[in-house]
Amino acid sequence: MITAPALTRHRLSAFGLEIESDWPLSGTTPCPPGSGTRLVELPPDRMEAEWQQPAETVFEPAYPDGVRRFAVERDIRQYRLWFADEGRFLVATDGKMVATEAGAADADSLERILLAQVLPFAAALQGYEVLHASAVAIAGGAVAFAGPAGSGKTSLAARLALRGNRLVTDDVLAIERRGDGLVCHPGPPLMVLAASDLDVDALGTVVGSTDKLHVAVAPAEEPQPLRTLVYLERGERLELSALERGDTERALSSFFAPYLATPDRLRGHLDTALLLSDAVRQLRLTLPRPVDFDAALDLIAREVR
Amino acid sequence: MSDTATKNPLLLATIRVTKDIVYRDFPSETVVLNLQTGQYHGLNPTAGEMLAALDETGSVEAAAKQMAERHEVDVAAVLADMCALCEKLSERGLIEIEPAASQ
Repeated sequence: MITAPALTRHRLSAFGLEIESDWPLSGTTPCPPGSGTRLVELPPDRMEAEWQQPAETVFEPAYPDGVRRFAVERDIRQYRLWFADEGRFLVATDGKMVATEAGAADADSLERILLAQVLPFAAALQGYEVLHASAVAIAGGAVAFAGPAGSGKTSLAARLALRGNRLVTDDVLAIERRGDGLVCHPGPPLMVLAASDLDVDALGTVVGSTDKLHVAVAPAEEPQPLRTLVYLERGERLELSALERGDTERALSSFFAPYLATPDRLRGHLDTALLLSDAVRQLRLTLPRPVDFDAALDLIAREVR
Repeated sequence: MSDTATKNPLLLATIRVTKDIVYRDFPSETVVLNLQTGQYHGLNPTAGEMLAALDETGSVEAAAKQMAERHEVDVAAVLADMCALCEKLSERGLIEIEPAASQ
């Protein structure tokens, strides 16, 4: 991958990474060049040249309508991530370099995909365990919500933030095994949520939009020990139950980018799932539709003190 | 050599957990992972303990003896279950069974 020079960079700490971007993102601060994970922009012809290199398909999900929306390929130096609406990205195999294609998407769409997909991908390549989860700091530890898209991860985390708790991350959670436990690294200072979801002005400042609002919310400043993991699922009635013996299958299915199935990552998933089982309280929350979030948060508040 | 050994060559074989197979004991099961395929297999706690004993001893008889002593049960009963488990694990590529040289 070819890097573009930049005398001033913009630093962002997220997912355990110190990211140095060639352009400002939400929450970045100017900085001199350092040794962080580089985020650069390539002109379309340079990106196209990179894309012409021989590569193998790593993952390409099949959608019911047959339309291609997302693909991951790998060539000798890097992964190539293609999104139908947000353009093309290169991520070095060690995760320490990310390149976007200049002009491929509007700034808000680009920022959303970078923060929600591409940088977490880089974090995974750098050895962090990454979960599909939102998390909030409560009483000195993190409570994380894991579940599929639309299950309520962001809605619960945002409402907990409105109740005075510090956001750890929205939608993607980077964790790290430390000793006998797991710590959660704060995500970027941004939540992406539906306009009708809640009082966004009370939560933070709207800084952009795609099909949802982008709200600047300052996350916790330090990594937080992961104390509770709540698996979200739909159900007929609101119910929170403790999984006394954990839920290995749910834990293993909660990892981000499962198609990155290298032996080291697979072993890391298994060891992380074991630590989740040993050191993290696991709960299951069933949410009927429409969701009574206040009632759900009251249930959670009784379990997590 | 026991009578059972003359009937079942598995009892003379060397058992190895296949390269690229790792397993971890969770509270409710043992999860066995093939690092090459990414495929997970779940074993109940007894089967997981048997796999660990096979991994430690490399022998069905020695593993069965270890299990029988630990749980104070008849070794013959454990042997039968252990042989059945070995066949299932082998079918899934989780262990390798190397026949004794004379077989």
